[in-house]
Amino acid sequence: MGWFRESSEEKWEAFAEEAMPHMPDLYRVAVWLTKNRDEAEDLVQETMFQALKSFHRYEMGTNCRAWLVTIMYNLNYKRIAKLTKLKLVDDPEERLAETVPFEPSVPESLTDESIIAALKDVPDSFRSVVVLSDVEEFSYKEIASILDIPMGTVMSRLYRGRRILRQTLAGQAREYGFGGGLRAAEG
Amino acid sequence: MVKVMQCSEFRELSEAYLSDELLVETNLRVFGHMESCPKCREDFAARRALRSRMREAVAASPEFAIQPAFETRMTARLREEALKGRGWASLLASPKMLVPGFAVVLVMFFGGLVGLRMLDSGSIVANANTSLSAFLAETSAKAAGSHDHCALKKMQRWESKEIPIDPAAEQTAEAIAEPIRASFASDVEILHSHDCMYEGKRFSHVIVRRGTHVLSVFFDREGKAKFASDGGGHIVSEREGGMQVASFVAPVGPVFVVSDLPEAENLSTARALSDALRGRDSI
Repeated sequence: MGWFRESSEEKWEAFAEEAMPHMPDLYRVAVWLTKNRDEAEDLVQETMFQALKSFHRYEMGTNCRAWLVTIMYNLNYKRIAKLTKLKLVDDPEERLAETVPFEPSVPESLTDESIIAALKDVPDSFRSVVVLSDVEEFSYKEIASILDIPMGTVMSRLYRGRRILRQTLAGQAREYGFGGGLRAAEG
Repeated sequence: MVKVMQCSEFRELSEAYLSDELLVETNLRVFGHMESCPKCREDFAARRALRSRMREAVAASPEFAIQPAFETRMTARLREEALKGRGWASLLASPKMLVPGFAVVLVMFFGGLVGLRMLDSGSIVANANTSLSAFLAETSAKAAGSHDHCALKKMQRWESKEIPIDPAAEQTAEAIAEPIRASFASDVEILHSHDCMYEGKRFSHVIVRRGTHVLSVFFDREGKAKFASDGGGHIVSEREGGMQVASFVAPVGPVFVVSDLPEAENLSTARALSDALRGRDSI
């Protein structure tokens, strides 16, 4: 009887168990991608419906959260392509990161708001890697798969993204006169 | 001898160490360097603290929290989407549901057949009368959501069969498959045979795969006494919920052939079966 596939009800039960618990995580990632609550909800909705449709391709027992985030990034690329109708041949943010000079100390007296604001200031391609690694705790391998980039690129973007973040936070500290910072290596 | 790590190498590796991506051996070297270098130790502690703070800040921020109402709405819509496929169209896409689906269609058809006047001439009668159509429409709406009446429903869930299978069922299955094989010279396989009940009526149900298509053939053995056979000469064709239903009264009783084949092919299958069963009082 192996020829028979599972029923709709069984498919829903499996989907509800495997995929649905990750919806809050997906929403978080969607907010980073869209920077807008309504668009984030749209992206989550699109992702979940796509995941439901493609659920037969999901291999049970593997990382469902990474699978869902991969779908979300793919949909987001399409969304951006539709919006901009541009194909990026060169990533200008890569060049920007090359110009980050050094990392001053990061203040201890940071608020949640200032950390999130600084993270938002990190250019998109670096922020994606920092968020996926440091906030969502995906492995390098999973991030490489989600973003469809080589592992080496994940590592370099993470390195640069973190540096930019630390620099931004140090800049905020200078601006608001915070002292007694967490020292960070220079150079 | 383990190579001593310099601060420059530590800074390079500390990013991966922070993400817990280093090999155990390298971890030990990184750790060893921190033990001996207060500056790097302090730097790493700051990076690790910032990493934790990022996670905490995002987790605590209402901006990144999914709205419960949205989550509830999504759950309901996704569930509806997943289960809406329980209609006839999805039965075709999901063979597991197809079989009990066939059973329901067939049973509905049989119920309708009581009110259907079979024409005296011609071997194929297309389009049932209005009362049958109304009956099918009404019953399909009720039955499409359930599929509880076919024994196969139980078997799919690997539960014990509630209805004992007729000992003759295997013979019946072969009697069904053989003419189909002979007529179409195609890859024909008996997938399953069992008896199922619908509103107290018992059917012998044989499921056959012909090429990439699945056919259900039902026999109403009890109907033998109610319907006089015309030798299987009249075949009634009906389309219901995207499936073809062809029925005729053979000497063994009313027979129904249901499939997702085009009408002409479903009819020719029924015709082959009708010819094979002609003159046979039992199978």
